[in-house]
Amino acid sequence: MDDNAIHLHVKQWYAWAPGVEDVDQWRRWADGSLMFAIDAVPALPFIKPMLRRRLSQLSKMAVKAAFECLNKESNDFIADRTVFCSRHGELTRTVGLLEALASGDELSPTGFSLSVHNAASGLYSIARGDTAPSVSIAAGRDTLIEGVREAAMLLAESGINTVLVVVADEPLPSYLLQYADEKQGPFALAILLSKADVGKGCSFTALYDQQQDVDSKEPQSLEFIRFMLSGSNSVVMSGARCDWQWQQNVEMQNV
Amino acid sequence: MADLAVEIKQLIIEALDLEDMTIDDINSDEPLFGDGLGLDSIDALELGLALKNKYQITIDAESENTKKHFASVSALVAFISANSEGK
Repeated sequence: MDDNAIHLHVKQWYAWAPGVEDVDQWRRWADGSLMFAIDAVPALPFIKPMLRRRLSQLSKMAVKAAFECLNKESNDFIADRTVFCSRHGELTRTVGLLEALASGDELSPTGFSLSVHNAASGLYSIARGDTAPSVSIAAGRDTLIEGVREAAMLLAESGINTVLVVVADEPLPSYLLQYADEKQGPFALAILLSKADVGKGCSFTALYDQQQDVDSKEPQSLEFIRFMLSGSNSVVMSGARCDWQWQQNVEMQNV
Repeated sequence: MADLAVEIKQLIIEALDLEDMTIDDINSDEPLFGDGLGLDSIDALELGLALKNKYQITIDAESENTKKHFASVSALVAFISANSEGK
């Protein structure tokens, strides 16, 4: 076993994209027979309308994934920590605010207050009644990897047995599309992680001497979903500075 | 006056993203904040901005009267008709 690898256990995961919401649909997406729909809003029946109206499309996707993933454990399950990740965060709101400034309009107080990077985390915590500490992360193309690494560090603490990692992103606003360096599409992924000594193990390792040169890279979260569904034991996914090897079904000994 | 009440209710629904609500759900004399409609302080700011843009009224955030003007749709109707007269 590689000593540099980080070992975790994926207890549950759930992913949402427009038109791709359950495992069967994700399988069809993975084999190429189903595409993301152009537009769809995630259903959030578990959130009161007065709170729900505050959620942007991004926050709706993130909160949807978080709830559905936790509900697989039980409807009142709460992880010991949460890590909310997004490469671009509430950029759609921010661009809206900048457009308002550019045309001399006053800023929407609601839009301003919810344009922060931890908006999804805050709204989730209110909706779930989850008072556990939460971290919000943006880490470029490595956003999933760094979110999971944060979770691994939290799990190394005693008393922390479960961490929920949520990754959600939207396509870049049109002004910024020219800077895109990976495939654009809305998605949210939630992974409930625990220490590696229970059940099926998963590990990831930085391959510092290796970097794939791919033109149109898929976000790591989507590669992760593909990998989880594939049943294969190992995959190499590209990162910002190096490639990463993910393994699953790893024999967990001496961890 | 009745038309202005309907107009304000429509504005409240649009400005505050009350997507599941219609103008019939808002009672003109019920409190907007807290117990009645259940709006909060961010809604107060958002609604103030929307009213300012639509009716060119000045709202003094420091004034105690502002609270009274924002108490209900009826109070807003009275406030707006008094302040936009002759404009």
